[in-house]
Amino acid sequence: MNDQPLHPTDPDDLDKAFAAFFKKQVPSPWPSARVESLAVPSTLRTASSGSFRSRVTLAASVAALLGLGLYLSSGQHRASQPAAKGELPESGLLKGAEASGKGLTKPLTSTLNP
Amino acid sequence: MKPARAAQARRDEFEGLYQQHSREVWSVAYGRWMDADLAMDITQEVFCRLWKQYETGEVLLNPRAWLMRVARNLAEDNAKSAFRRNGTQSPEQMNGVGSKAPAPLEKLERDETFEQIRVLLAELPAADRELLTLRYAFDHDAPKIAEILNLPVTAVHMRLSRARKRLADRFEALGVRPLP
Repeated sequence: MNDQPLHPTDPDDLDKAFAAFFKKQVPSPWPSARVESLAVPSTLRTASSGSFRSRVTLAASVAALLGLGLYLSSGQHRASQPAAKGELPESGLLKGAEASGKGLTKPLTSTLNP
Repeated sequence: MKPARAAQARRDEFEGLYQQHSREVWSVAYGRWMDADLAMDITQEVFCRLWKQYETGEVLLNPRAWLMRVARNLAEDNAKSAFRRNGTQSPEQMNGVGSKAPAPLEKLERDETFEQIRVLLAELPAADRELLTLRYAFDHDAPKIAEILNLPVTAVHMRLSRARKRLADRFEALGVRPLP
């Protein structure tokens, strides 16, 4: 170690010491901003962007699903349906009968009491 | 202006602010913790938040003041984080721990000087460390530092002189040469 006398009050030496210390701390090279490669802010996105298209597709899908659900639950599709193959003919035993059995008792009563 | 062009303009503006103020933000964080890596993490987080501000479309009248305020808040918040509580040491503080190779004499002397500076800096208020970082790490003069930190130029001169005097006293007391 050098035994030369110290000159701690010498402003140049102090400045050099500080400068050397602080410059050693500074990252080199200085990094660039790490902000997700500077994506376009959402407020500035255009209607042609992929995000907009996917939202429209999602909205259309949901609307179609809801429409189908309403259509099926309303029962209109049964009323408008033509008689399918294999369905019982109008002249069968269950003619005019309902699920409650109301129409079913009619022919039996007329048979017993002519 | 077309949206794509507006986006590019914003991006350029952001890059400009990063180039102009990121070192000042780093100085604030470094002045608080004296940890270069942590200071860079805080700097990046500050600019990440600035970008989010951009996304909301909010206009900042004084971006520098905003950046410095967020930097100070984040640096303070770091004190409460698990990272600090767990006592993780910065790479600088761990220097030499695992090394068995003899360092050159000059490097030893330099490291000794730097250690004295580090001890001295730890005793100074964080505000003085910010100022010293701006002065010595980035070579800003007193008026520029005063502008960045929103201080009177005389206060900057006074603090610089006080920090120099303390360092001089410490070197004198310990018999450490300022630099090899």
